[in-house]
Amino acid sequence: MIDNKTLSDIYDRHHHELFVYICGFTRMPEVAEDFLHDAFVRLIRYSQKYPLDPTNIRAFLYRTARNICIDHARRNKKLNISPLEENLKSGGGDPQTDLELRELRGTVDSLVDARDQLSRSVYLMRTELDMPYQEIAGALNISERTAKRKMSSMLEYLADSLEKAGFKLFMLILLSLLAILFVIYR
Amino acid sequence: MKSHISHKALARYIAGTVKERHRGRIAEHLAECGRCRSRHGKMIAAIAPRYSMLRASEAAKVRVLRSRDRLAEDETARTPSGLRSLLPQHPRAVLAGSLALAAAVVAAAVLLFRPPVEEVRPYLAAANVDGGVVINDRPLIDRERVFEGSAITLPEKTSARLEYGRGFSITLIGPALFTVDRLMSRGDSEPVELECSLRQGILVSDSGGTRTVAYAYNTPGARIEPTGTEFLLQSAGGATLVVMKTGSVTVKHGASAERVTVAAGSRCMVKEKADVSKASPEDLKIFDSMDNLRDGAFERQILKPEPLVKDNNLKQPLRTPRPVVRERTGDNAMGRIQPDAPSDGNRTARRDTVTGPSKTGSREQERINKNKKLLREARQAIRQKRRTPK
Repeated sequence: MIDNKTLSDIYDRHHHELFVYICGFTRMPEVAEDFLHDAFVRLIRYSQKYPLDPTNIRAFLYRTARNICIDHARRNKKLNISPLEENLKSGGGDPQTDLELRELRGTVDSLVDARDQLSRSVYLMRTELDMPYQEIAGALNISERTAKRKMSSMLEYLADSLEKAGFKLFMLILLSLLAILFVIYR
Repeated sequence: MKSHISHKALARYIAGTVKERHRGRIAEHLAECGRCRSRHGKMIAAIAPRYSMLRASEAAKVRVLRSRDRLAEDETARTPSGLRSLLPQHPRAVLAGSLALAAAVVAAAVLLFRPPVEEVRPYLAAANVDGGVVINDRPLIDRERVFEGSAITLPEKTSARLEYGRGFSITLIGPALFTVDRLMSRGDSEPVELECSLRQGILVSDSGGTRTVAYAYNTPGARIEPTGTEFLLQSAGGATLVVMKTGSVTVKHGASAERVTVAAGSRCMVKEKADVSKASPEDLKIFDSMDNLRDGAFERQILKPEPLVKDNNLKQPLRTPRPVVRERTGDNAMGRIQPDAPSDGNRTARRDTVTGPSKTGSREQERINKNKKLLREARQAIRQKRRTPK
């Protein structure tokens, strides 16, 4: 079984990136803390049965954390996702800009949630943790090429969806104006 | 670049996966084109990091370490002791050892609790035994097993039947003294050898048509060797009476060694000599009812029964049967009996050589005993000599 010192070292080395990664899935820091704890408990249980491979611990923790998040999402399909408003950076002080930014991020969140777990993982690691593709590939047990393809695909999907969402908003506003003019000048 | 950047190229540019030669051109276009720069900015803002500034509380680490301690305690509590602790490390050895132990326990149980070996000695089964019939100084009861060496005494007006298998039977009518001198089996395929002595009284022998028993009867005055037959045999006052119903028997006179064959429907009276005559129809009615025979209904047809005389020598057969297996000649020094009559090769003749007390026989016995004594003394002398230190 893993000893206290080793466990403490592993925790210090990986807890932050894991916590951010889990937050990317749950968007709730309290829940993310619980899942972080669960991931480390699974690591301890694993060490009771098998010897730990130091080169594989990071991948084990990411895989475990992702599985915990997936299980949680399956159990609670309708998650109360809090946008972590208090933790988000302000858009620059202008309330109008902040509002637009929040709306944009809400749209991005819903778009990201619709993608597969691996793409979400790559996206979160790249954007939130600024990890190089090589590290992402090692942590997720995939090839670097796959990691790049997943990231490009995700961004392409986001750009496409956001442009379409912008066009839909424009059309909606235009139709609303036409309806108002029709009512006034009838 | 005159046209705008496609959202695909823009996504690759942001993701950092665009080829190096396109990267510069895209950067130049972004510097020139306001619309594309706006799209780029919007995308960058959309995917900007939002959680990286978050930190897990210190309590989370404490929880993890506490959980580790708790799991360690549970593991210590669950750690098996003794042989069970070997199971995770040597599962095959533990399994093999367990199987061997189980096999040993089963084998020991089988050995300890196996049923007793069934008696393989042949026996006659008693049936229809009247009260007062005694075997070896104790009452004989129905279905009791009668083994070799048994002596049966029947008081007046009693009867008992001895059976072997399904067919063979001997009905004893009292007063009678009857001993089973030899009853042995030489194998499943061989008939059982039975030799009995009727010292006094009546018996009715019925082979039942089976050949499972090779039997012979001795009386003080004769020896009867039947082969598959039914007849009455009576011994009284030194005389022997044989009344034949079916089959035939060979009767050998004890003193003169005269041999006569008694056929069906005949009777033979052995006194000073063996007389064979035709049996009357009344004689043959004897076989109709054993009860009537027992109750004295055929006094005219048979000899007058005499009261039981005490015989203290019941263990000794009337005529010592010669052991077939140990049949050897020229072994007088070892105390074995040498046939004193020439053998004609058949079974009956061989048996004849050991039947009937005679003066020649008793002299022979004395000689044998003398030789035995001499041999014993010689052996003792040899042993004494060996023990004496040089």
